[in-house]
Amino acid sequence: MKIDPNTVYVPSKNVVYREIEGEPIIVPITSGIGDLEDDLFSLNETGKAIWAAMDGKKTPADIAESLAAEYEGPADELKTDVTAFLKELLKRNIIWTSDTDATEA
Amino acid sequence: MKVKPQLVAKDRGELVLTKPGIGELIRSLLADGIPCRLRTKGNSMSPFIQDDDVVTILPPSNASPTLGKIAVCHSPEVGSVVIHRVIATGNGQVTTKGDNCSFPDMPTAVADVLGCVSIIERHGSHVRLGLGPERLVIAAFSRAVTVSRLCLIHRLQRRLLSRSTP
Repeated sequence: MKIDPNTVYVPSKNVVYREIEGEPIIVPITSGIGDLEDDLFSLNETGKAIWAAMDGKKTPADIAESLAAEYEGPADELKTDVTAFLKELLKRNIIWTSDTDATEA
Repeated sequence: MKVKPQLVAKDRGELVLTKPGIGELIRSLLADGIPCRLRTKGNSMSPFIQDDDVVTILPPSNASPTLGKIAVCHSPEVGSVVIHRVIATGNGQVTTKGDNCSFPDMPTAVADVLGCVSIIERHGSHVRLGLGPERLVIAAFSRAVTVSRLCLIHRLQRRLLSRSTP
């Protein structure tokens, strides 16, 4: 699975995101049911920032750019980190492209 | 980035029903109309729900907490949610009690009931006993036992008081 830097990625409808006691939690949705018996995930602070930046408009390149002010470092490194993180989310079906979202809706 | 973004798998030990965070998560999902499937802990509903059974909970919009149903309520005593049977309703409140408990819980406003159990799974199979029409008999029996226990305690208290008074 490859991340296209010019495609918009959004949270998939197979998960719900909640913040419980300040901790981000991603709950898988199976057949419309929040399955706490399935694998639940959390995000660290930087992961949470990337998740928050996925607003349905920003491409991975835009997300990296928007986080540049907050997270210092070379632009290339930021892009690489964002891409690697999104790839992990995509692999686990936690995000999909905004086109998929429109098709599923 | 100094700290690489990470997706962290949650430790199953953190997902125990009695922990406040999980109660909050369940409440949040059900409040948004999303049913939940989770593993139970404890024996308060034994034999109908046993320790480690997996239950599916429907939000109140899909399952109202009528007599005999197994309701999910926030328990201030436990600090999380409890899954107990509705043994009485009225005045906009429900009284719940664990099938294996001696006494009922404090009444809960119907509006505060988080959801009701619709499916019980044990070792991969569905358990239907306790969810069908027999639930009314279980609720009535559970309430009768409670009433008789309360009467017994009241009688004992009166007897003790009468003995202590000269």
